[in-house]
Amino acid sequence: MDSVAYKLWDWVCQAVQYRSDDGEWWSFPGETIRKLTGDCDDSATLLTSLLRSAGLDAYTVVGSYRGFGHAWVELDGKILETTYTYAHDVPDPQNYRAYAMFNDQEVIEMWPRAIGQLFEVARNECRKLTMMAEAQYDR
Amino acid sequence: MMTKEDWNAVYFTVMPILGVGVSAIGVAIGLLALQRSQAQAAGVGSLEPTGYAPLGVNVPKVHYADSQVFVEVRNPREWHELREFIQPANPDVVRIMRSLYG
Repeated sequence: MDSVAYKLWDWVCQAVQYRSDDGEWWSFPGETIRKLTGDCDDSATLLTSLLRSAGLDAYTVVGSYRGFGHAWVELDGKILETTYTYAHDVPDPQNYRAYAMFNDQEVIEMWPRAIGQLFEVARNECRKLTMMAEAQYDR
Repeated sequence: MMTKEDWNAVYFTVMPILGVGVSAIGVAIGLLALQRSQAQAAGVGSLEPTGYAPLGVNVPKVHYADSQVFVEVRNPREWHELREFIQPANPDVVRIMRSLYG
């Protein structure tokens, strides 16, 4: 991976403290930088903005992780998980299911009206992060 | 007018139910605390849930128009085109990117 991309990814992981929303609230990148807290969609859109600013072809992907709503970043087909406390490969990419991906240029839905279905996916941040932790223990 | 026996009957009916309820809440809090400690120990997020949304509050919605996707993921009736959330030219974003770019 491009070293600039890795640095930006690691910075987001370390700088942005995970904080789940009350309900649903997507922050803009500038807001996340000021607060340095956010959930998966906040840190993913921030990292995508940083990578795009560096001229890289990155996307924020919205979808599910083992059945729970989630957001992450994709760069050259690689999953960049932004809820980790430092940048490292995901051990279980098969558990990530993309519904749609977007950046400042385009929105790509994996099937028609996929984003509409995205918000019907179950939300449980605590359970989701626990399953991610378990996946790392099992690695 | 309730007699002492009536009050006793109510007490012995309500107290076991109340006891089970309080115990269940205690177990649920314990499980949540366990989940949080597991996640943090594995280096996944600095999990700090701020609460759970009551049903029906701030439920996100999607609206399609002119090949654009609008989402209601902030305040009610505040629609944003999805691409607005990616801001490579935002001054704060550029500042961070340049500081790490060297």
